[in-house]
Amino acid sequence: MGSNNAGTASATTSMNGQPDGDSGGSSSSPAHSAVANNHLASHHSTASQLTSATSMFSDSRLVNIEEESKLVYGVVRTLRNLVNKLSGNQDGFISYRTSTYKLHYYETQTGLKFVINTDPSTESLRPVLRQIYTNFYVEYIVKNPLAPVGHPGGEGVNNEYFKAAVDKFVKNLSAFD
Amino acid sequence: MYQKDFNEGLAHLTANEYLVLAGTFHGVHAITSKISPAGTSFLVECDYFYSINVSFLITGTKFLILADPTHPNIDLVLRRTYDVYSDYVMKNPFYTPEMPIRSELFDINIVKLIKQVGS
Repeated sequence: MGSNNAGTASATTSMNGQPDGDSGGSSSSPAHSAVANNHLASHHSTASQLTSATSMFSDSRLVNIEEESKLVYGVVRTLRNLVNKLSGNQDGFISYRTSTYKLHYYETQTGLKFVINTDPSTESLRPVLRQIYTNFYVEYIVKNPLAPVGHPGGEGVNNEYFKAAVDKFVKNLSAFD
Repeated sequence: MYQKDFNEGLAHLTANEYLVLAGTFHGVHAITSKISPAGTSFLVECDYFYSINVSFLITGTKFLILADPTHPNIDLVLRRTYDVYSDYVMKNPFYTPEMPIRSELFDINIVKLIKQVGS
């Protein structure tokens, strides 16, 4: 899967620093330890485009996954606040798109934030993020008695089942082809 | 900075708040380009009522339009805005860069443009 077909979809061009390039999967980490319940689950699908993108922006592009989740968290939070302020109601922010990628955003009632980066032409993946929450997060994290409550010490969701399930799910999406 | 409402429906904010929002936006854009290099366009979809469309110039000038997400041709509107801007602001010898835009002709032409694309 490491060299998928031209990486049209689901191609976030980022290094996730994991040794196995094909796992791609999901890793999530709390970007803000002060807010116990808010964390990000960001997905990274390594694509073949990666090399070209990184070579162009060699220095500034090489942020690791920890760094990046903090950045994403900051962006998403500011944008959400901005949007809510402009429109005056809650839950207004859906996605943003630049000419190189699109970031889909889903927030649960409890303030959990789910984020996925894709190709800019992808249609809305909010239902997908919702499914990830209900089918995988609730199943593998919330229902797991051994999972820590909140994310103490800035530790992310570190559950093999969750990672594997999300990985498989995302790779089977029509948008991933 | 220049800001103008063309339609009712969004919460009205003070000039100062708009300045703060514009500043925030600048920061957000800087970070989004760090996540993955952003190009010359940027679009925030919020709600299903409106979306924020932005275009960036090499000079750093940004145009933001809050519009209905179903509008077919926002990019064109942004480009036309730029035309108006260059015609009535940049070619105005009395305009000081980085200062608020107070030009009657610019006002008139922007309204004209919005009416044109709105109908």
